Amino acid sequence: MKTLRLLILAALFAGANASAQEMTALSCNDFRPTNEAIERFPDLTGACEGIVERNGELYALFKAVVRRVWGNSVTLYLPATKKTFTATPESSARVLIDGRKTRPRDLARGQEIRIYLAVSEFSKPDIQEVAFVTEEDVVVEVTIEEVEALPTTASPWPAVAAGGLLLLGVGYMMRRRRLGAAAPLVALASIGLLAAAPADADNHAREVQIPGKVVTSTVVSMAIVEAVDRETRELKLIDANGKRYTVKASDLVRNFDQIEPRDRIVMEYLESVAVFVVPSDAPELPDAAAIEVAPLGDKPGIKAADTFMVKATIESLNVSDRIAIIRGENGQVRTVKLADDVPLDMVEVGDEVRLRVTQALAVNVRKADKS
Amino acid sequence: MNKIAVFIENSALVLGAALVLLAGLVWADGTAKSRAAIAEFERHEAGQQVAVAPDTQSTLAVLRIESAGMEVAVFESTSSADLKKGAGHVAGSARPGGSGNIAIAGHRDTFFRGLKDVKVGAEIEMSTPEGSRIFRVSSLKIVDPLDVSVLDPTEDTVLTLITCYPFYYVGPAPDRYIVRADLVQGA
Repeated sequence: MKTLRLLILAALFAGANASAQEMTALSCNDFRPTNEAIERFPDLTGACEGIVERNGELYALFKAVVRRVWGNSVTLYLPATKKTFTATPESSARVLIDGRKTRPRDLARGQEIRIYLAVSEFSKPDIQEVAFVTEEDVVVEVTIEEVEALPTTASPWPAVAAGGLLLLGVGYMMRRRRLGAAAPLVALASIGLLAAAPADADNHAREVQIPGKVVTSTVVSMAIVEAVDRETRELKLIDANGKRYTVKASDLVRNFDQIEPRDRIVMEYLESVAVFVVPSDAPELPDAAAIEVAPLGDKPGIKAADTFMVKATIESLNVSDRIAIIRGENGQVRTVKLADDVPLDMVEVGDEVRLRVTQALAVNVRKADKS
Repeated sequence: MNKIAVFIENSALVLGAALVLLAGLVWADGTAKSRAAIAEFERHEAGQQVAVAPDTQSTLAVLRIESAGMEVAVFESTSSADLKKGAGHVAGSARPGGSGNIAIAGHRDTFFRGLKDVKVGAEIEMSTPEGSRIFRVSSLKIVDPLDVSVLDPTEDTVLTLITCYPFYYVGPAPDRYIVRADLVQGA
């Protein structure tokens, strides 16, 4: 048990400078606080724990436990009354810890303080006369000892898990902001949770590190083949609505050679998508920019679709579906979908623009069942 | 700048995953040890000879609160090692098989989480090597951690369960939740 002395210059607590104490036969009933004592130390009312003698003088003993120290304010808990109060000693107040002057702010939570009020100063004598009141320095003795308390039953691990989840959230949000919709896969891949993912997904994860557009719009359609160009791997098609269009078969379409004119086919293909639109008089994009906007399919195995710049006039614009019909310089009319981040406020019907377009690219073709 | 952002992003993901994994492993380890302790205790109760594992040899009792879906092994102390795998007997209070105020503490975020659902009148079964006892919850209260009056000895046999309060709180909670139950069956 360590013994401390608290020197308080403005009489926050009162006591005496003495070293040894002895319990006396007197009880707290013999300590009859003066009006001033009640006024100055209202929180101690009812908390007396005994009368002790120190160096021949009697003191009323109060025990308190430091609950919190905030700046120069000390929050104390009185076990006798189960009350808590806050005292703010003057800045000049000092605690004597093993003979060394220390500030009250250096008290620590859980320390037990013993407060002594001199009976001769703060207790009414039997003759009911009011005594004392001095503003002299007073000394309070403080004792540090193990304070009995209920067990602490908070495991640190939920907080650790919460911190981990928070970090994961922050990392995920940063990645999502950087990579867009592909972030979940990449985030999982980066922490090793996607080890069982297909190699193509892994490639995809690496490729989307390049800043640029990601085109994920695939369409499944049934059509009749009008013509097949085996050199360029282009299919001229007509769909059920009579709409004619051309798609290029990617290398993934292994049965391309078996496709003949008049075949009915079911085809999955990347839509023709405009990923970049600028006014026609805008300067040419450097190659680097072209790389940046090279679209990526979300179909495993598709590394990149063919893209090209086209100068065209906007013939019609469906804002809600983000579909534009454009007429190229050679007169060819093409329907393209505008990528989500193409600002629609910069294009309108009649505008002459340049677009970077992904060519409609077939990734899976099979002959339709005859019915 | 972009490289720094990517580094921070990757660090957050890796560190976050590591922390979650670590906390999960600790939780799984504690749960497994608690289950092992309960199983061994039950085999012992059934009179079977068991080779007691070092981690479970100090099991004093098993607490069951059906209404809260709780089954917890009670260990010798409230040390962090014991509270990681179950509840702990509060030193100085009556032993689980004894008479007087039996005080048991547990983590609010693991084994004693169910105390939040315990109502006055709920039954608590305590199995000890001396036999099985039934307690009935008589009061629920929140006290200051320094209010040790809940540990005061009692003439009657009572069970005092202690956990931190509030139940949902990050870090050391400021108060304690006390469930007091009276013995209604068993010596």
